[in-house]
Amino acid sequence: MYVKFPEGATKRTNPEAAADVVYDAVIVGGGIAGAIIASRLGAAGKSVLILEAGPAEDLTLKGYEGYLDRFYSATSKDNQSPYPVNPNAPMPRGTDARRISPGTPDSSAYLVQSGPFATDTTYTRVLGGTTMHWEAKTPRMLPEDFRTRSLYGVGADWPLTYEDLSPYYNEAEHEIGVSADVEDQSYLGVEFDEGYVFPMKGLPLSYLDRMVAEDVDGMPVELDGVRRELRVRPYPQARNGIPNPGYVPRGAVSTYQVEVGGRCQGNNNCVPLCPVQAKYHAGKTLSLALQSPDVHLVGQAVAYRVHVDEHTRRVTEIEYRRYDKPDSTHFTTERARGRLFVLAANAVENPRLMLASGLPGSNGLVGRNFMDHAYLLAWALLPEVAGTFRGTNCTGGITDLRGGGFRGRQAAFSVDIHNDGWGWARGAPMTDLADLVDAGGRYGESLRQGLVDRVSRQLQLAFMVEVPANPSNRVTVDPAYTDHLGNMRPILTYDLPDYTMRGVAYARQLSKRIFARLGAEDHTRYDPDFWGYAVYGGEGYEIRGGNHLAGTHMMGSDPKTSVVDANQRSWEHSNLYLVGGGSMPTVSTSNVTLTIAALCLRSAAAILAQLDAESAPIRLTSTDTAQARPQEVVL
Amino acid sequence: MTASTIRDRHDLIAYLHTAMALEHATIPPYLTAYYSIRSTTNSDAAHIIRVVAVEEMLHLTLAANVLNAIGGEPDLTRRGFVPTYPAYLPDGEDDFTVDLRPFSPDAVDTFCKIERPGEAPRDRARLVPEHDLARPSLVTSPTADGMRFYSIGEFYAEIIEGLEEVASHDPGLFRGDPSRQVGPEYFFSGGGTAIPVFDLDSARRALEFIADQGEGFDAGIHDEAGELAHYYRFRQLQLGRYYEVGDHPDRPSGPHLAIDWHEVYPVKVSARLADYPPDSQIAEVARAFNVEYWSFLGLLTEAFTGQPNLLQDAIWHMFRLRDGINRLVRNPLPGSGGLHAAPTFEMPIGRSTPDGPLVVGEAAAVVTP
Amino acid sequence: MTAPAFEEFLSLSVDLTAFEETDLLGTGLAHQYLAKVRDACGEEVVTALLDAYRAARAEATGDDGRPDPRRLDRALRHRVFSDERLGPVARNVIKLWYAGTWYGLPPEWTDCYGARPAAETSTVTAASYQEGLLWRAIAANPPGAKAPGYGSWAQPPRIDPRYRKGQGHDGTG
Ligand SMILES: Cc1cc2nc3c(=O)[nH]c(=O)nc-3n(C[C@H](O)[C@H](O)[C@H](O)COP(=O)(O)OP(=O)(O)OC[C@H]3O[C@@H](n4cnc5c(N)ncnc54)[C@H](O)[C@@H]3O)c2cc1C
Ligand code: SF4
Repeated sequence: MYVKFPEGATKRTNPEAAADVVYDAVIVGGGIAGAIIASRLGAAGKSVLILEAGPAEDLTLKGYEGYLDRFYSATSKDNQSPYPVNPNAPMPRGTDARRISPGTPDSSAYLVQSGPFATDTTYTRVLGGTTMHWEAKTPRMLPEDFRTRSLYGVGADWPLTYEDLSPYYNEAEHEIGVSADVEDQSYLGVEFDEGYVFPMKGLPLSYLDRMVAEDVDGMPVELDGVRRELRVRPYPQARNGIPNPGYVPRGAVSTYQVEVGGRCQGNNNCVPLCPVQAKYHAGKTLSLALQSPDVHLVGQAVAYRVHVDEHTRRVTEIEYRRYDKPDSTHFTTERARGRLFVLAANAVENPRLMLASGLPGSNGLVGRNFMDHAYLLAWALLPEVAGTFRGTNCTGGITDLRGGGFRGRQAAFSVDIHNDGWGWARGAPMTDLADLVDAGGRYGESLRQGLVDRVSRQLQLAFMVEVPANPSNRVTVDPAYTDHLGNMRPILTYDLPDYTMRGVAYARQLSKRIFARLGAEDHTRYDPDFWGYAVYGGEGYEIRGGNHLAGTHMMGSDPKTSVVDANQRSWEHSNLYLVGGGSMPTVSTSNVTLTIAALCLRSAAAILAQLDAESAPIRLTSTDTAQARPQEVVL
Repeated sequence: MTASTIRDRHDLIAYLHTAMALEHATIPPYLTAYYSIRSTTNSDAAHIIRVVAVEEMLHLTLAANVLNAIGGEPDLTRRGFVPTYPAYLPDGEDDFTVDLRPFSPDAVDTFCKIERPGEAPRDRARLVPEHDLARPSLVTSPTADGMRFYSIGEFYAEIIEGLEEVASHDPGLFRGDPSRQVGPEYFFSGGGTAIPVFDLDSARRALEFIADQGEGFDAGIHDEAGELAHYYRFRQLQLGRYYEVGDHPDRPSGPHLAIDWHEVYPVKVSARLADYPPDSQIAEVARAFNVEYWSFLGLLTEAFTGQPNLLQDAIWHMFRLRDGINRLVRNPLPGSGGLHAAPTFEMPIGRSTPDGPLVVGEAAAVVTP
Repeated sequence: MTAPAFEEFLSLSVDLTAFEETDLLGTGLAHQYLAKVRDACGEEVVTALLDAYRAARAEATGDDGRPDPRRLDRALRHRVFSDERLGPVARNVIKLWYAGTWYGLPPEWTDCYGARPAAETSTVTAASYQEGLLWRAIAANPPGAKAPGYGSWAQPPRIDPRYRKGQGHDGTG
């Protein structure tokens, strides 16, 4: 069934009139975190204002196809290629990454990087946020991931346990529509409720996965004195598969009836954009949220400053800049008022906004402990044709080294088998084509043969290595760096700890063993000129960003060592919630979004409870009562 | 109430075979129009036609489920299953035939006519004399000679009444092998899921679903679930706007559609293999397409006769057929004065997949009743 | 654009890509591709390329009126691929068909024969990416288009054995 986007919902709220409304909640950011909270508050009859930095047009199939066309036409098909450049709400782009020379920050792109380590990590500032182009792998975190400090002396403990979050994982899996089978996903301590079924059956492993599994399943690995056997395991995925009884998959989002997005068709384009919307994106949840007439959305609204009452430390309003058009510098300053405020702009933009508002927190932790995953790629040619480049970007991988006692010494990782060959590492298959034609003198039959030989045998393993929290990895701001609208840009200071690098080095060794077991030709060569080249133990590696932003407003049980509590509520500003990956004390080896969704579902309950408990009206800073007040005033 | 034309299980089986042929017969015209649209253009129209085509596949599956439930033997490769285009439709008028046309106002008119809601003024008029027995027709009564139905809806109404009637005196009517049923795990599209049929109630639901989804039998433009009937989907192309729930049929109030009738390959209407220069490469491609289509029908037959999981393979097959049609329609048809090639959907003769070489192209003269 | 030039371009493209004429026309882009080559390199270069191709075919054609594959290969190498001016253009035509992208010509080429604005790297139309022959050659779909269907990725690829390693004949021969 398609998801009905209420026609006109992006235009029905007049920003000026909205300024006079005190909403139950003001949410900054229309990504998955904001959308989930808005939908739950809206369903409970609360009034909500969402401020979204990207241009907000009604989500229609046609609009979506505009992204698709832009992607088809782009000469560089990197992961931001479907999205128009917008200087008023700029975003990092993978192709921006440059080597950083010590002491000279690279400010050539939106995300200022002061290094020492450069990253190509990205996020998207459009309605729906980064889930418009995420890959949609949705593993749960392991129970041990919530206690890495106590268990392994690394990172930080969560103020929550796996069991606390488990019911919200269930709900999140249904909200975003996950395809997986419980049998495959119960490992390393992950347990499911009795009788639990995922909304949809697991996606079949690719032919390539099966080929790898033939040799890798049962491969012994000894780490930290413990022997384990590897196996290729399917990943849970937020894309429509075969529904289990009672679940109706959510298709494309549009203002008019369309039947698109039933089932994943194997377009192999999940990143950057699923052409049929079989893949979940936050527009699906946002559409549901906007069904409530009390949920308002203002687009082209870039939050500029969070205002706080000097005495109560409560947030009084959010000042934002509303630009007329993506390509003009003209804007108006508006404000949004509410009883509660939720920052859901992601783990880079949340701290950026807080810091730009002069709110680093009394413990100075806002923006600190930035985390992401470090990706190491290893690539080889299989002895036989595997038909690479078919299926979703990734259907299976090796997840047996996500947990275990070795984490006291070195980082854990999960391993993706990439159905898109050496695309990420070396730009396949276009680079192979150019090489065969230009350097190999191939044409005609010999070219066709060469392509099968070179491309259809490709295997690329991606090791997603954990990065523990470290206060010196951080997001900061500096008035010297601003964007078109005068917003201070995020500055990232980032380095990889030895702990992670030990995991990286081990990953490379393991890849060699795997290739040897497969009889595959190892073609991995790490280029010292690569922007993310890192040397450890005398060996160099290409390390890429993981797009799994986390840690910049970490949750904890102690206000002195954390920014938010277990409900993602700010310790210092009692009516402010900072939600999203920023709240996570560890990223461990999970792609972060399912956990973000679960945390936000949990926060939504806390927000509702707080709204109901706090009946006292907040003190308004505004004195102009002369303007006619729209009927929505809720006090 | 006139005498039913359905007296026993055998009559029902004959009717359900016809139902499958009817559901299938709409697919080639929809596919031809859909794929004649130039890629990345006419998105609104393309989506509408594509969805209806997919739903016709669902209807075909549902008709097979009912046929299987009463112990019939679905066979999409039997002689005459694929009609020869142009073919007549039984809507009580004799002013149009169904052609394989490029996307055009004419094509949309025909689609509206195919899916047009039509309830006969009186019960008696449900069956009307076949006006022209010399021409193929999509819905004739398989049991009452020389008679055909006023509309597709009437045709299904007749089957439903027949089922009720036969079930009331034949307790063993639903004797089919339940493992042949295609359930939602094998087929769902945005517009509905396969309903397994085991008894009168589920049979009725399956058939009513087909009738309602096609024409909005008596439910108005949207059904309870907010689904638009096919007829109204196509009306949107004529009226230039999308419907919203609650709209009057003549006055859709949703967003406007953008249609560009020129962004279409001018494929030859109801092309036949005989129109292709013999021994040309393109004739070979057209012939190969028909063979592929024939094996697709064979695969569906297997899926409907005990291997429902093959439906997934059939869908992959369909995606490949898409690539085949696309290739054809972009090729000029030599000697046609600038028209383009198109699939001819001429099937070999025979009851099931032949072992020997396929005789494609001679079928035309033989498949019509 | 003259019809014979188009026919010759098509025939050249068949030899360069090892896809049949109906496949090339089946992309719906053959005319646009010829126009793209003209815009990027100029009429004169296109004429020279087609002349060289015609000559190569004539040279390779035996008494039976058909070109011998080995001789054609040699003639193409000598007359087209190794030619300073025509070689890079012919290679670009191959890549154009396979990728749907016109790649900018190397600087050595533009220095000698002139740079035109249309010569820079660009996709021809949104459709050209989807129609790249590369994807058909590896029995895959262009990511983001022409989906093969749920679960089809679990099956072996449908690659003709003649293009599989060690099983085909020498394509240039
Ligand atoms: C290529 C890629 C692949 C990925 N794959 C996976 C995966 O497989 N699995 C997984 O779990 N995760 C994956 N991710 C990560 C995932 O996309 C993010 O974790 C997730 O989208 C975060 O959601 P969010 O709502 O917190 O933030 P976002 O999605 O970034 O949304 C933030 C929203 O806030 C808006 N905003 C920002 N600044 C402001 C401002 N100042 N004022 C107003 N609005 C603002 C933005 O426009 C945006 O709409 C991937 C990411 C990328 C880039
Ligand atoms: S494989 Fe394709 S259809 Fe499936 S989710 Fe990815 S892009 Fe969408």
